[in-house]
Amino acid sequence: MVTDMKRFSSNSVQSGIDYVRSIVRFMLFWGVLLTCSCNRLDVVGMFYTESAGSDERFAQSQEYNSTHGFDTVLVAQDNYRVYIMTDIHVDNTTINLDTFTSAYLEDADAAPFCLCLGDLINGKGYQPKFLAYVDRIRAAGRQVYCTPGNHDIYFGQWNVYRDYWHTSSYYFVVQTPSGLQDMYICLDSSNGTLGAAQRAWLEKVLQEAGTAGYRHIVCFTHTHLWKKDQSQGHTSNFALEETYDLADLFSRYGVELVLQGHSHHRNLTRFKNVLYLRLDKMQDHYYNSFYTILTAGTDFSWQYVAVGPQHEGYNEVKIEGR
Amino acid sequence: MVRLKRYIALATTFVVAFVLTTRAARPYSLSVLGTYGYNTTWQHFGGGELKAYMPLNANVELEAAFEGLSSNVYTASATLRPKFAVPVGEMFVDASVLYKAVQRNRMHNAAGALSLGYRMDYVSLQVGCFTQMWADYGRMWNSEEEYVIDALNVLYRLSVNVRPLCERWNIYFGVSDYTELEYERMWQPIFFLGAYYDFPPSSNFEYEYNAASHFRLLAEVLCKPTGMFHLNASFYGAKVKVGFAYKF
Repeated sequence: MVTDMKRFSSNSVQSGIDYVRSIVRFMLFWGVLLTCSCNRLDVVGMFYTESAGSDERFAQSQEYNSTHGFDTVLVAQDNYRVYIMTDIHVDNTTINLDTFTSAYLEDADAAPFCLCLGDLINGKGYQPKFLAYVDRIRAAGRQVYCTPGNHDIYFGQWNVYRDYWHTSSYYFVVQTPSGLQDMYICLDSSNGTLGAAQRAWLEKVLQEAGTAGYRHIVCFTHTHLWKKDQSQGHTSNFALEETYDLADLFSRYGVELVLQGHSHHRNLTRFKNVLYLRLDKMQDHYYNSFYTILTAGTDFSWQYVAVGPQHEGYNEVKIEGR
Repeated sequence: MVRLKRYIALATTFVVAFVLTTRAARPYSLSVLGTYGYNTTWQHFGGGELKAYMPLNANVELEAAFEGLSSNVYTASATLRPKFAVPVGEMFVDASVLYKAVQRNRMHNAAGALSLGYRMDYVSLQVGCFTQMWADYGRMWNSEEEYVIDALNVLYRLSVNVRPLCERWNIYFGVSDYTELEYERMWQPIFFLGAYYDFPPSSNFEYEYNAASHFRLLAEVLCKPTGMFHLNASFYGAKVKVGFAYKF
């Protein structure tokens, strides 16, 4: 913080002012343009969230959990298949979502639940389109477990999300015919943090899970922890402090698998004995859209299923299986 | 290989000799700062920071910093800064390394950065890139575990002074994705507001030793939101630093 005391030439004063003016003009121009023209991106959300904050969302979720409890799902086999989708970004079309839903419902051996890792919709007003497919799955006697993404929350959409899903921080237990149990914990990271209350709840749940003898503990959330490639685009991560903390927390309490979305591209990271599996998007009209089928048995394996055009060789990235 | 080592030793000798024999433009300084902070993960924490500024000659500076926090996290960093005057202002290149021992979570975090900066009286802009590596304390050499290495991040810092740099006191503010003690990912900005005040000489005698004139008061507030580029921004944490620098 000890800065140079050397006085630059007197022109530098005027030059500095001109420079600041040009930056302000640039920001004003793009700010006004974005604010006026963009109904897909909540520009106001750059500065604050219109939705409830993470602690408030967590409190509302807990209120629901306290009266409705947590689900136990019975599966027909010890090795069961879980269909997973993320970053569907539904707006005008639902082509890939339709493909996913049909494939899942036609797979008689699939687990009676599927996971959605957030960014169900692309912007305000598209929830009903997505939820029509969830209703279709539920009508078939199966369940969708969902975590919100940033697109589901901005423009103050938390209330719309909550009206349907009721909770964004919860867990459920999968029970196999042999009496084995797997725990799935859903974490709400839709504004780039779990918040203090949800973090404390997670530790308590994991502590209790440690004595319950679960075969696997799986966490799923929208925002990914690691940034090992440039696929992320212009979206936030967790802050560094929270990245250290969550990586350690998952490791200490025996979480084996963390499922994440957000970056739209697959990645596999193994850190502190925890497997972080980041999944491909399932957005329409883009190359390399996939959904994932996870097989949970003694161990985990998974496969990616293409639902649109692919770049040549994309699906040959050697990160399948374990 | 032996020849390569000789070349490296020779080049190092020349650099060190050059650095030691040319005259420094500004005095060395040592800063001591107390830190108080809060974030939603660590909650309340405090600590201290020690920072040394060492101009090696008129065109090369070296900065080193160490920070220890009650949250059981310890950081050391060093920056080598060649700089040169241009018709208006000054350009500089920062080559930095950082090591953070995250004792509370039993992991190492190291970062390396290279950036180009341009500084004038009122505005300073710095752009470059950095990467960082994460490793578990208990990682064995033959482990399946990975070092997690971040892809190259853009490094940026825009700082605005309300008065010219030559003034005795100043207030500055800006945005950056790094400080000398942490490198955040590029879409996780840190906002800062700071000030400094140089004590005036306590005597009119030019050649008399003036203890007061060697001191500079420093204060800085850093604020880190989360989710800005999720378009769901909310407060994550803040840090306040207060201290002084002694200019030798």
